[in-house]
Amino acid sequence: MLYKDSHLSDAELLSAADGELTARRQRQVRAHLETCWTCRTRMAELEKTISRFVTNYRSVFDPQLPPGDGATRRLLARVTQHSSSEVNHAPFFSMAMLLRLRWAALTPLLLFVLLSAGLFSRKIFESSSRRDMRPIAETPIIPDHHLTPGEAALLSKTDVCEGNRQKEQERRIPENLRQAVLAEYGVKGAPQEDYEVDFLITPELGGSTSLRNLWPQPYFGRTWNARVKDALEERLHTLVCSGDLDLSTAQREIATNWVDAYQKYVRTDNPM
Amino acid sequence: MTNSSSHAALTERLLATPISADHGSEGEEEIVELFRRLRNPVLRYVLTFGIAAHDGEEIVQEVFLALFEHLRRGKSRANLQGWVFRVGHNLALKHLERARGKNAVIAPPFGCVESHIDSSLNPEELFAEAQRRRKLQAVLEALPEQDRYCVCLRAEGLRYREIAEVLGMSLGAVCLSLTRSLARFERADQE
Repeated sequence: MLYKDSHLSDAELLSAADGELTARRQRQVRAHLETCWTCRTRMAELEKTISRFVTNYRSVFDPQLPPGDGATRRLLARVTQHSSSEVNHAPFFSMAMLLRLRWAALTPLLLFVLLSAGLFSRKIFESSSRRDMRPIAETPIIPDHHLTPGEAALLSKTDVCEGNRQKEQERRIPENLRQAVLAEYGVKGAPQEDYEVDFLITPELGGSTSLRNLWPQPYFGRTWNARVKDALEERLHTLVCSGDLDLSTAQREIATNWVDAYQKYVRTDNPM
Repeated sequence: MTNSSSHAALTERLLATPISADHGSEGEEEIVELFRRLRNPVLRYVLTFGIAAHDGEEIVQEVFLALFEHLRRGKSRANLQGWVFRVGHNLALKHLERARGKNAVIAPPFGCVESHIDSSLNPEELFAEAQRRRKLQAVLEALPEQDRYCVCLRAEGLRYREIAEVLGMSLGAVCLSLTRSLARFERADQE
């Protein structure tokens, strides 16, 4: 029971505001607040502090949140892949099922299981080997625009041309980011010699080092590979800096379809 | 059909069509629904550790893959929000440990004070608002880790019981931690 001349502590006021008191105590606090201006004022001050904190907290972190749609698709793809891989490893029979069978029926069954186990385990081994490494031939030559729409910093032609070409260390992609890109495209753990995690819009044209501007590009096995794209990047940079091509057009075209851009600006359908 | 080619076909199908409620199995629908509801709060919380947004996004993906497995194994469905935050909290700590092991630079979580302030304010008000935020953020960064986790989890809407579970504290300790942090914010605001 609260006396009229006693006041509530900040902890009690906060717990009451957060609905964390027992129902009985909550009623007592409410009754006290109806009569005590001091505690009501204190409660209002606490609410104001909370409100300022939350506004500040959200204003710092909300702008950092990447768009959610691509993330939802990625999760769904990973969940589905996870489910299908588990199904492939599911046992033929559960123990409970085996125990229900009589020994007489079980003996031929065991023979069958032993014979097929060798074949089955080999199949599992082969399929898991394939799953660990998605073949290069299946990686798209054009990045998925939902995952990699392309992202560039706000730079001028002067920035990208006048002696400010990106230093090697600025082109370096942190290993955790590289792995995130590979995971996003379902080729996590792929050896470095198979893929270049490449900038869709090259840093020489202002492209940024972000998940939205990076994708795994195969080095080998295709006509349109990472080395061909490097040649296009050089060509576009030259064109931009000579004034023959607008920087934003170069960024847009390489981000939209770099193969088309290659054919248009390098002027050949048969690269290197 | 090989596993990898079926995966490629699946990815193509997913990207070609918008995600809808009737897409995929029941478990997948549920996980997508939970992800839509909790992804931003968990990601925001992970960012408070000073983790970059792309790494935070990866952590959140791992959290929801783990949740999918948790639900598929028929484990407890009680307080899934608390479960998601607890796993996110632990993965964020592991990430930081690994980053520190590699001597990577951890960004201060509460940077960019001047950005995102109401642009309709006049210059004096803008200055005062930026000052106030700077003080508040200085206090937040100076809080003991446990108090900072506590107040950020509360800002994400977790109840005291859920916070206590995520951080392994008692209910009373959660209440005291929040009261202590608010008192510090208040003092900073009045200075």
